[in-house]
Amino acid sequence: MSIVSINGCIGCEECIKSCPTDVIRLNRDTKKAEILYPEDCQICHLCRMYCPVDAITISPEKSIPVIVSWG
Amino acid sequence: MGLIMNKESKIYKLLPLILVFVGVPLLLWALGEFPKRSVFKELLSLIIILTFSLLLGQFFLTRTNKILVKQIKMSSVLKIHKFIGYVFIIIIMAHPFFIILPKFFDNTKTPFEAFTILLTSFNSLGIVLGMVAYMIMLIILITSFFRFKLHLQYRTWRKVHGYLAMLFIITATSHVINIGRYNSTSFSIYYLIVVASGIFYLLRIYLFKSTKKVIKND
Repeated sequence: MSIVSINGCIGCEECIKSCPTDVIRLNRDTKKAEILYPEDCQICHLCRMYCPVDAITISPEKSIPVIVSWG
Repeated sequence: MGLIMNKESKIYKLLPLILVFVGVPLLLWALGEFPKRSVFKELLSLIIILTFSLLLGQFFLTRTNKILVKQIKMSSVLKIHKFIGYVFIIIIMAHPFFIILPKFFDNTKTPFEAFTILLTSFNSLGIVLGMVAYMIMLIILITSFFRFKLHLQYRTWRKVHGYLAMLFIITATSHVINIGRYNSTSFSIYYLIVVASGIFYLLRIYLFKSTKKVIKND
């Protein structure tokens, strides 16, 4: 798992809109974002960067090697 | 030398309060299983946690704390109360800005955009509670600073101050429990115990002491 937790969510849905693989969904009861499909996370860090209150933590152990085009 | 000794003995007498309102939150933060972040972000969070718990401690740093007033002078108790009040209310007023501070180092959302989202998330109960608490805190700060310009009797002002403080602490604690980053069961229990005892402490003086006086007068 790469996306670890959401602490201090304000329910603005910015992370939900930014996630390209729909990992995060809004919990209708708590009105806060929650990690529903962690196995789909591509570690793009978009949710973390778009979160206005820095509530999302992504596992520091996981990393994606930078793809360099040589062609 | 005598002055240093006097200061040291005052700190020693304040030790139980320091332990409850600085030691316990520090311990809960250190032992809690919160996701690790950069030192800068952790430091900002820690400042806010300690500031909030010190403001909770204000309920016990008043003239109603007879034990403390006996140990150190009442004027000293009030000086500490005023110092903590003014300094830490200003720090806690800055905490929404602390939250968006890391956005200066990101390149997705500007701090202004992040702040706008923060202030317009009205669907979040935590945010609404935070705004209400912020307004009450502002009123407390202004009415304390301009106390003599209000032309209120001291007892009236003290009651207004106390009831505003109670309102603030209820809304602020609900805000912290609802959307606090470091909201855990242990932190919530700690806050609830402190808030309940603080309110009880104040109401005991406001309600029951005055009742006794009425009975005496009768």
